[in-house]
Amino acid sequence: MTVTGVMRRLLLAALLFCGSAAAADEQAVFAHPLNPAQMSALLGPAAKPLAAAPGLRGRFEQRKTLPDLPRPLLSTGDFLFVRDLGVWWHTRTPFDSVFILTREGARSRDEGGAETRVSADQQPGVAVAARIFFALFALDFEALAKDFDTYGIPTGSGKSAGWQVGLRPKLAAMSAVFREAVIDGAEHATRIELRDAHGDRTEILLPEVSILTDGLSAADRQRFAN
Amino acid sequence: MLRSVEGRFRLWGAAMLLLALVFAILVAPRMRVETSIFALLPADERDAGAEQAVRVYTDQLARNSIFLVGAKDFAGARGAAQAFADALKASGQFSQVRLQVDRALAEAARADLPYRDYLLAARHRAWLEQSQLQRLHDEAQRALYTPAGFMRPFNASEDPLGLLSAFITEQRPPTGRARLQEDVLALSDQGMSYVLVVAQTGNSAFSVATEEAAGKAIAAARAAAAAAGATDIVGSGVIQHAAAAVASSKREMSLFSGISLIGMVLLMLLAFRSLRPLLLTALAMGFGAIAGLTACQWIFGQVHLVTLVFGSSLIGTSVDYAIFFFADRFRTSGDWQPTQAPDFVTPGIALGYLTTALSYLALLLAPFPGLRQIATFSAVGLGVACGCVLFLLPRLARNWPVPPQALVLRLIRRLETLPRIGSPRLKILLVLAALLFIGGGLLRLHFLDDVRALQSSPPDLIRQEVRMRELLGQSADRRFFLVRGDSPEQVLQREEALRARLTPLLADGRLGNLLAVSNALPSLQLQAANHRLLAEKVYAADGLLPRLMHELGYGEDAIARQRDAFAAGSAPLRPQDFFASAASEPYRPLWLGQVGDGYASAVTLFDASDPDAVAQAAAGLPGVRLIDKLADISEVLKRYRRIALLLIVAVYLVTGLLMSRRYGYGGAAAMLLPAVGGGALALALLAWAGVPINLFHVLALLLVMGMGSDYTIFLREARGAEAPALLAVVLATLTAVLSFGLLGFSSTPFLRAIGLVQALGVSFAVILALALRPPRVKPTGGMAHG
Repeated sequence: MTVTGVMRRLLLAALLFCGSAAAADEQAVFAHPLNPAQMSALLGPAAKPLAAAPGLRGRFEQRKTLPDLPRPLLSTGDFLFVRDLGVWWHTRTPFDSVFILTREGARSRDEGGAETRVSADQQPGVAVAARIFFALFALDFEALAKDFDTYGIPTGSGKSAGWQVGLRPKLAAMSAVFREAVIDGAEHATRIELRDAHGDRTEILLPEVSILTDGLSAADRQRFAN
Repeated sequence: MLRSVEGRFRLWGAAMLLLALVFAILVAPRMRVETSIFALLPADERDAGAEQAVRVYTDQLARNSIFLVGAKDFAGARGAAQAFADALKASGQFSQVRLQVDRALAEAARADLPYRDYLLAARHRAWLEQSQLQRLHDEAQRALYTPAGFMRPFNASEDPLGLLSAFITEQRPPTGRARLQEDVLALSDQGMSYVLVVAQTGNSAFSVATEEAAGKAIAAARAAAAAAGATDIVGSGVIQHAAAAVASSKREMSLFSGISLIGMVLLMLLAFRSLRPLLLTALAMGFGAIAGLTACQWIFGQVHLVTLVFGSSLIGTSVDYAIFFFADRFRTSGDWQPTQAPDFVTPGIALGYLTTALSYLALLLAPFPGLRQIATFSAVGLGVACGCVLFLLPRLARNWPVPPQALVLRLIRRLETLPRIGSPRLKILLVLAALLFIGGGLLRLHFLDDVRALQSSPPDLIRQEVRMRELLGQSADRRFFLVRGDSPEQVLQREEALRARLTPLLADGRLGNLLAVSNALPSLQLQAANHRLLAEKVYAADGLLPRLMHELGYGEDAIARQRDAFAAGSAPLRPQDFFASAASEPYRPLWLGQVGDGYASAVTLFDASDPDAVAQAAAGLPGVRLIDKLADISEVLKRYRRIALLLIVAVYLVTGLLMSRRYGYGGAAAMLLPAVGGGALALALLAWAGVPINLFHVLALLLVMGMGSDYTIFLREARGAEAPALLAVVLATLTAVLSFGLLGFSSTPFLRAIGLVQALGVSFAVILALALRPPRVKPTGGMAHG
C-alpha cells in the first residue's frame, strides 16, 4: 500500500465522516414538528417586511449533487418572484435559459431556442409544484402546511438570528420529487435544500436578495407575459 | 269437443293452467327487467360487431359516476367529500369509490418503470427519428440546471434524459380544471371549493336492482355530505338518470294502472251491478298479462320497463272484449244464457281482435326492439284475453237480475236516441269542415326526430350535468372513435394510426384532447421501434446518454452501468401486464377487449369544436369508425317515421280488403272511415297545437286504427241488438281513453306521444262511429225496450 493510497483512504473516511455529521445536523430540525401557529410565531417577526411586499428579487446559485457524479452541477443566475404573477428564473451559467412558473403552468425558453410549456391543465403535478414554489418564496407556511408536515427551529442570535424550517411532503406525488426540504432564512429564505429518496440533492442559495418595495416595473411585468 | 262450450272451456282452461304454471315456475323467477333506453332503439343494421362493441362501451361508461362536493373552503369540501365517499363505500353498491388520487398517480408512474426501455413520448420519438439529439440533450440539461426538473415525476438520477418522465406526463388523462390539492383533485369556482369523487358500480347500470340500490346509496351519501358541511353537490353519470327514470316509471306504473283499475271497477260495477263480471274480466286480463310477459321473456330474454308501463295500459284494451261479452246480457229482457252469448259476440270480438292484432303486428316490422316487445306483449296478451272471454266466460258467467229502472238501462235508452247524421246536406257540411280542419293541420305539421327530444330526465339532473361541464371546464364529446382489429396488437396499431391523423387537430385546437389506450400502452410494433431508437441513438457507445454523462462529469464505470442495464434487456409492456397494473386504471373503460370475433377499443374526444374535421381526418382508416349514437338514432327514427307512414296506409288497405270480404267494398270503406277520420283529426289537432310529430305519434295512429275499427265492428256486428253494442262501445271507449289518457301524462316522452294520440284518436273515432252508425233496421228486441 502506497502512502498516497493511505492518504486517499484517510481523506475519504474524513469526507464520509464530515458528510454524515453534516447530514445529522440537518436532520436535527425534523425533531421539532411545528403547527402553523408555532410556525408563524417562529418566522413572523423576521418575515414581516416580506409579508407586506409584492415580491422579491435576487441572485441564485444552484448546486445539484447526484450519486455517482463526482462533482456537483452548478448553475447561477437571477430571479424575480411576484406574489400575483409567479416565479421568473433566469439561469445565466452554464447556459442561458429562462424558466417561468405561474399558476397556469410552467414554460422554459433557451436563448434563441424553442419554448417548451407544461400546462397545469395537462399536469396536475405542475400546479402542486407551483404552489410549493410560491409558498417557499412568499414564506406562506400556512399554505405549505397543507402539502407538508412542517418542522422548525430558531438559529443564530442577535443580528444573525434566523430560522431553519424542515418540510416533509404529505403527498406521494411530491415525495417522488423530494423526500424532504430544509430551508434557512431570516427576512426571507436564503438557502433551500431538497433531498430525494435516490440520493439526489439540490441546494439553492439566494444571496443578494432584495424585497420589492415599490410597484412592479413594466419591464418586470413583461417577463411573465406569454 | 271444440264444438261444445264445455269442450272449449276445458281445453282453454287446461291451457291457461299450464300457462300459469310455466309462468310461476320458469318465467317469474328469471324475469329480467331492462331499463336502458338504448335497448329500445334499433340496432345498427350495417355493422353488428360495431353495435356490440358500442354496447359494451356504453355499459362500461354508464357504470361511472362523477361527483363534485362543494363547500365554502377547501377544508370544508375535503371533509364533506370524505363523508360522501365513506357513505358510498359503506353502501356496498359501488365496486370502487375514489377520493384520494395522489397515491394512485404516484403508483401509476412507477408501474411503467420496468418497461422504460420500450416507452417514448411522441416528441422524443420524433427527435430521435430525425436525429435531433441536441434538443433532447438541451432539455435534459435544463432539467438538471433549472427548476424545470422539479416538474417531472422522476428525478435526474432515475431518469437522466427525462424520457420516462415525458412519456408519463404525455399519457396522463386530462383532469380539466381540477388540480391536485393535498391528496385529492379539487377546483374552485365563484368563491366555492369543490372536491372530486369518482364512483363505479360493479354491476351493469341498466338493471333495475342496481339502479334502485345505487340511487338510494347516492341519496344517502348526499345527505351524509350535507351533514358534514357540503353546500353544493353536483353529480353526473348515467346511473342517476336511470335511477330517476326507474323511480318515475314505477310511480307511473302503480299510479296509472291503479287509476285505470279503479275507473274500470267503478264502470263495471255501475254497468253490471254484479261482482262476477268484474272478477271474470280480471281473470281474462290476468291471463292476458301473464301470457304477454311469458312471450316477451321467451322471445327477447328480458322485459323492458317501458313494456311494463305500456302493459299497464293494456288493461284498458283487453277489458273491451269482456265488456262486449257482458253487454250481451242486455240483449234480452228475459233469462240470459251465457252459454249462448258466444253466438252473438264471437264475430265482433274475433274480427275486432284480428284488426287490432294486425296493427300491433305491423309494429313488428319496424326494427325497434322496444316496439317489437310492446307489439308482442299486446298481440299475445290481447289474444289470450280474447280467448278467455270467448272460451272461459260462457261457462263461468251467470245471469243476473236487472231492475227495469237500472241506471245502465237509462243509459242505453239515451244512447239509442243519440242523433245519427242522416241529412246528406249536414253530412257534406260536416265533412267539409273536418277536411278543412285536417287539411289546415297537415299544412302546419312539422316533424322532430331528434332522439334527445325522447329522452327525459328531471330538470335538476340536467342542470347538474351542465354545471359539471362548467366546473370541470372540459366535456367528453358524445362522439367517439371505435377501433377494431383481429388482435389487441392490431387494435393498438390502428389507434396509433388514428392518433397520428388527429395530431394536427390537437395542435391547432380544433380538438381539445383525446384519450386512447395506446397513449399509455403503445403497440408492440411501436415499442420495438422505440427500443431500436434507444439502442441506436441513446445507449450506443457514441449515443446521447454516454455523451451527456461525460459532459456532466460521470466516471466511465457509471456510464457503463447505465449501458449494461439497457443491454441486459427487459420485456416490453404487454397488454395483459398493462391491464393488471396501476397505470391502466383510467384506461380500462376504453378497452372493450374481445368483442365478437375481434378486439375493440374506444377513443374518447374532448372539446371537439370541429366535428367534421375530426371525421374527415379519420376517413379511410381501416377498423376505425366515428360513432355518433345520437345522430345515428335520430337518423333511424326519421327513416322509420317515413316507413311507418307508409305502413299505416298498407295496414288500412289490408284491413279494408279483409273487411270487404264481409261487407263489400263500400261497406268496408264506411267501416274504416271512423278510424281514419279519428286518426287524422287527432294528428291535425296536435299540429294545430304546434306539437312536433315524431315516429311514436305515427305509430300510435296505427293503434288508433286497430281500436277505432273495433268499435265500428262491434256496432256493425250487433246482430239486430244495438243496445248491448252501444253499451259495450261506450264503456270500452271510457276505459281506453282513461288508460291512454293517463299515458299522456307519462314523464317518458314517447309513451306520452302514444298516449296522447291514442286518447284523442279513439275519442274522435268513437264519435264518428256513433254518428255514422248504420241506421236501425228494426226495433231491437233488447231489454231497454222490454
